[in-house]
Amino acid sequence: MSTTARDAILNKLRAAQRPFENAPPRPRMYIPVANDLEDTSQDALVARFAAEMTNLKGEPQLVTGDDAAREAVISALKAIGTTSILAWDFQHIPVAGLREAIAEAGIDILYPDTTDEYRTQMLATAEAAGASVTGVTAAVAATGTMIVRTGAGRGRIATVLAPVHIAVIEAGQIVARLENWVAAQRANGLSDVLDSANVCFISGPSRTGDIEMELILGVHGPGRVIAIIKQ
Amino acid sequence: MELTANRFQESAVIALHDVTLQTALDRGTGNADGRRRTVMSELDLSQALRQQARGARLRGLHDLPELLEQLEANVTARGGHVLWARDAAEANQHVIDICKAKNLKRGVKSKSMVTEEVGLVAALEAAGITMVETDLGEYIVQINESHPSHIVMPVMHMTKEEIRELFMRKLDMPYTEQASDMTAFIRGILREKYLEADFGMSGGNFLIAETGTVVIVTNEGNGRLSTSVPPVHIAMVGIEKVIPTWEDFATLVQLLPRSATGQRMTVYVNMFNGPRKAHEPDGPDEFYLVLVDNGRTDIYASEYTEALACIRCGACLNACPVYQNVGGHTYGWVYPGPIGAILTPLLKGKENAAPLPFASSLCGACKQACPVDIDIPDMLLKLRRDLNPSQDPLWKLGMKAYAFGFSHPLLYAFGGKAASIASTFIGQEAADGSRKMPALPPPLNGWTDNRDFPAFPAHSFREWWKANKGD
Ligand code: SF4
Repeated sequence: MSTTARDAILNKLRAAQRPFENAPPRPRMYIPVANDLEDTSQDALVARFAAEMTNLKGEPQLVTGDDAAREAVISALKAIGTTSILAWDFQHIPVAGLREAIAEAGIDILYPDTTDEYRTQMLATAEAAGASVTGVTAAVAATGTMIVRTGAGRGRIATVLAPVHIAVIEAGQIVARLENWVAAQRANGLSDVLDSANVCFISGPSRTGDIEMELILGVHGPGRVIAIIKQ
Repeated sequence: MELTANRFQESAVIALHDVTLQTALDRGTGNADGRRRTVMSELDLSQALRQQARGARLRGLHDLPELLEQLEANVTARGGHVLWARDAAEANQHVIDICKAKNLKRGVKSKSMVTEEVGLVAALEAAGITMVETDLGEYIVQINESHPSHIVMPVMHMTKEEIRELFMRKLDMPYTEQASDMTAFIRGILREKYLEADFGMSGGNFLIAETGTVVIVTNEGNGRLSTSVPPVHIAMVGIEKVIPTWEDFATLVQLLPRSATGQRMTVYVNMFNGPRKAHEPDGPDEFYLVLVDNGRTDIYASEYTEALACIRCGACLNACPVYQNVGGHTYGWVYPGPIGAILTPLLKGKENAAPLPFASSLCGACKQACPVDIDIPDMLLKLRRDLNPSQDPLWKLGMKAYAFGFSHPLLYAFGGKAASIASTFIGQEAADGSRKMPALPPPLNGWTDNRDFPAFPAHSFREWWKANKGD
């Protein structure tokens, strides 16, 4: 039955006269949407990313070196006062010794994995975590966007379930615009994108304006997003 | 959803007298339209970008059958299943069949217009499958047993007080003055639903053909939770949503939130390439994409193909003086506002939505607001012609005069000047010193019966432009 529906739809489309014969051809150069980034030095990109994120009610924090980054994560976790966190595999979080430091602080680390028969228990435990710690795949300065894509040790749940999401970003991971990131994907034949079941752009904390357009954070996803930007 | 578009006039009168609705609409549309203007005006090349976005959509439509095949091949190659549905019943049946085969009983859903269109939730419920809306606005609509009144902001028609009363009545929420408390209360309820769900459903804002990627955008994160936690993900998407490339996507995904809510980026843009990969720790084990026709191929073959370019940003609703006053429910079906006045007649039959194409002042605000520059007024005029064939010769004459006027600058200039001279003579001084036109002759008297028509300015815009900006 499904095949017939498929053929019926495709045949009907093919039988119709082609619309928009004069549609503009694919541009050789696309105009980037955000065209107000003149200085694309790393410092400027870090500054722009932080400014955009602040605008979105995210909490960027600039640090220099591994020690400072580790300290920033630990003190954020202590301030939250949580006893357990969700995390990516620490090899994907660019801070040396972070896992040990978190464990030393007496905080349990849970790596959400819903692939086996214990998924229900796993989810119940994960739901109780007060924060999560991950890295990012890339970040976009123009819009304060963090890009995460799934892979071994890098799930989706750790980026969305807990009320606070702490993401560590290396300054070098920040590109100017979304179009720059897409160009980099194109350059590798879109293979990174295709290797992941999910890619997500995250721009600031979860928000809603459904009740009279009043801005409320954290309606479903994290209400706080802390970006530790490591230079 | 019951179709009541033919009762537009009655509903409009009721809406105009509903003080609460008027308050809600004023706040909602005013805010959204203002924000869109602000973020669009910060782009130096906003007009060129709109054309770039439009080009992406038009190429997608031009090559629609090939792109759909490419999309299907790519989704399948990543282990996803593609199902095709000619109409609403077939679309719903696909979902029911999946649920029956896999014994899925409880679903969570993120916001999607096409699932509203096909009446998915009711169909699932009839088959004994529960489906909880997780977008806050959609959830409010669901427990209120009502319908969304806006494409992007489902409960734009409700005030905070009404929503609080609803939560207290239906969910025993304790009294609160704060929208944040109300939101936190709902967060708690919906958390459980995600965790116990057997499957998650989403729509799709874009389908990227070259990689078989389904894209959804949400601000709340409900879309990400609904598609990350449950073991099955079913996406239902209209066939027209296909775009060719990731570069096209990069343009569209940024213009969509700018036009919809005045954001530079939506908080969560989720891109799916099939089910969880073997080495990934979470995500759905199964991924289904239901591609829905439900009248779209008919539109494709008609002279209204451009209506399929819509990316459902809702900007034309917020900008429309008619929508601003009558709200979404008055349009009597799933798609309200200017684009709804085109889609409803085309999808449900022109005779079943006859008043809608006339519910417009043809002021052009919709086209101007549209990020893909859809010529809504032109299609409204054509629909009027279709609905009123006796006026066809008149319509053609009108369009010819219109086209002639615009293509002959001198004549156009004269028209503007003539209007301003005329109003100097017939315009009357109002109490506040401004000049107003007296009652206009038919057919314009319908307009001046209820309101003053401002006199044409003493100088036409062209004169002003020449004096102030022209070289
Ligand atoms: S017609 Fe244009 S402005 Fe209206 S919802 Fe569609 S894309 Fe947005």
